[in-house]
Amino acid sequence: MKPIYILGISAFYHDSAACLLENDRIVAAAQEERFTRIKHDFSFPINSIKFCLEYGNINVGQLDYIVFYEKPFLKFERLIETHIYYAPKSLTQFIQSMPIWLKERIFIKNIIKKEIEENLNEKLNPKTKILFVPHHLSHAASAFFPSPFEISSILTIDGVGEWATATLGIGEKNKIHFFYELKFPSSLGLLYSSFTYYTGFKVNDGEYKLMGLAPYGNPFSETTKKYIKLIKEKLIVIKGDGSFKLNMNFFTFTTSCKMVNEKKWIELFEIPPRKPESEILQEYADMAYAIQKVLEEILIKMARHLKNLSKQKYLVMAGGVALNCVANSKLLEEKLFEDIWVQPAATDAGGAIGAAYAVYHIFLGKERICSEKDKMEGCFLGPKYSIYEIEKVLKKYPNIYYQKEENFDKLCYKVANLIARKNVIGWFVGRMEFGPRALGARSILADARDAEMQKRINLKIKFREGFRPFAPSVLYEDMKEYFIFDKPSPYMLFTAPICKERRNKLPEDYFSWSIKDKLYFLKSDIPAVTHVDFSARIQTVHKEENYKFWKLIKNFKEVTNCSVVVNTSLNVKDEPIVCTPEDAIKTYLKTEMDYLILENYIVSKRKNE
Amino acid sequence: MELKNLKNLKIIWRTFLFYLLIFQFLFLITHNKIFLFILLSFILIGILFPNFPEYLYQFGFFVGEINTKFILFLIFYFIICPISFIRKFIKRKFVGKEETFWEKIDFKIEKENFEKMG
Ligand SMILES: [Fe+2]
Repeated sequence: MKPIYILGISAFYHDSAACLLENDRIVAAAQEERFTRIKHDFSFPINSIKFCLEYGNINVGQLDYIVFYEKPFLKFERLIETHIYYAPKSLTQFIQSMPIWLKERIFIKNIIKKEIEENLNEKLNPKTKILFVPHHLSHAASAFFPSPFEISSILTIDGVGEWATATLGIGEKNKIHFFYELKFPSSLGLLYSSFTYYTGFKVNDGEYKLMGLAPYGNPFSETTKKYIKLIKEKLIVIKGDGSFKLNMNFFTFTTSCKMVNEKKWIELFEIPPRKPESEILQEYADMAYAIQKVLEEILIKMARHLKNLSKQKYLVMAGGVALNCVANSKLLEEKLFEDIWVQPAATDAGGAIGAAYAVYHIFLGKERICSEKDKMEGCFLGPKYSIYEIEKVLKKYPNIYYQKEENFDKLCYKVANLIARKNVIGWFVGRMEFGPRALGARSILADARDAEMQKRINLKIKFREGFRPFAPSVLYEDMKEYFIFDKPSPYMLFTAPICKERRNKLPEDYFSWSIKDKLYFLKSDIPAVTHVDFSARIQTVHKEENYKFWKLIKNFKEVTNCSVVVNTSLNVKDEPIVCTPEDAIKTYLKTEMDYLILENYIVSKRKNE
Repeated sequence: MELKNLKNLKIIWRTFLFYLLIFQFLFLITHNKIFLFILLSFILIGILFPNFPEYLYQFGFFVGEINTKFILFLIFYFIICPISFIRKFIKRKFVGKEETFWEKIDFKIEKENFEKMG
């Protein structure tokens, strides 16, 4: 029988992406930023679409459905309603946002058609339908349909879609049903982003940094306690069922491009907003800790309410907030659900996958066949490059040296030895990851036992803030030797505490230490991946799903007796993860990375190495 | 503002001169030669300063932007603001009395709904 091809598209907010479904199989998916090299690129994802069709080996005319991940008219309605509600304060926003909506976005159907036909030089099949899925249904579908659960509770939380900012629902077979939603401007995502902004990080980008900063906060200090109290008393009203309302006197994201009313926040917290790139004072770390705690409290209350409504054993999650792996782990610890599955591309990029799945299962009513394994293919859904393509690129760079190792097992052994000798390795192998995490296809790898490694990679290779932690990739079968954790975590969406026997004893006054002192204190025997609170954003590596990466770590274990390596994305600060061999070489050349592995090639900057 | 290609610019410039010529014919009937003077001036400027059409185009674009903003400004003060005022007057909401802020979802997950943009 002829397969059904569905192209999912998300665009125009942040993280534009496209995905191609062939029946219920994800053939390909990629974010536009990887091709345009503009981080969080929100433009129409024509490059991603082109890649998906090429990878799927189909032409435009073969597409049965094209689906956009939200309802543009509903979003436009929300914008107008917001301008009306906040008038006259909303004048600037109104004048800024209206032209682009009136000229382009409400004509999205035409834009999709025009962009595809003009850029790919092919006509759409007149039978191809262009469909629209509500934003949070896209999130919910991206969480439920690829998950390994037959029936499950669904929780979606983000900044904002059309109106909804969070939804509670249930998925069963090929259906999704929603119970409730929270509406704009009550948004957990935007609340967290407001603190991201105030602590000097970029909104829609720095949320991860804020989460990484939180453990540097002093949980016992008066400042931290005061911040938590102020947030809960002045900024937000939280109900027992996890629903909440923001006190909009303190927020300005509805009327300006600034997130908060700075004057009021200065009065409230008695500290000015941190200037980007300036030194991080302890107060900002305490603030990060405070908002993280409030977020966790709300998330757990929401999940408990959802459990009461759905009475289900499992939970699936999506939406930007679901990338908060610290909160995800707190939720797991609560044991409200037997298991939790989080869509690895939980932000709007994953909406492309969700929208496509919603068409297949809900619109077309196709049966959903569930298996133990999820449908994300380990997130390796992007482009891959042949040896021939890599050779061609390598020849363009006379200042690098390279040697080919035909036998991949031998290559792994060599690389394992290089890592053991304290080298930092760029690892470019197989299909690029979809979603924000590098999972062993476009990664920077290093020895987790090296105490200096975190500082070295942050400052000399990634050129980013020194406080930011690195994730460990561990052989799944050896996970329990290192971490107190008992489920697979192939997508780095949970944190796990380091085993107690591996930890070094903390000095009594540790919590009152400065951020720098905490950072450089030797915390465990795998210090490069141990965060200041002994947690680690764990990736379990499985032989069946991620063989080449598994083989490398296995070899590293044979050489060092350690089954953990540092794994961080192959990019530098403010750049997207690399996509092509050329991107990888450019990144390699502008950093102090020691070696770069391009499939079977070992690349170095010096001769005879 | 970036012009996509020079070809477009030339077409716009020639069309502009063509319109001036048409106007001149119209005004000749009424014995007015002002447009002939403007037309010749523009041709001369165009020859002496080859970049002039681009500046003129950018000026037009700028005027268009200002116009859009001005119209939006009027819409905001004459439509958005009065609606806002009336709504706030009729519907004064008291926050904090609700037991929950969760709301029942008002969109239906039905097949027909997928084809709608709103
Ligand atoms: Fe979203």
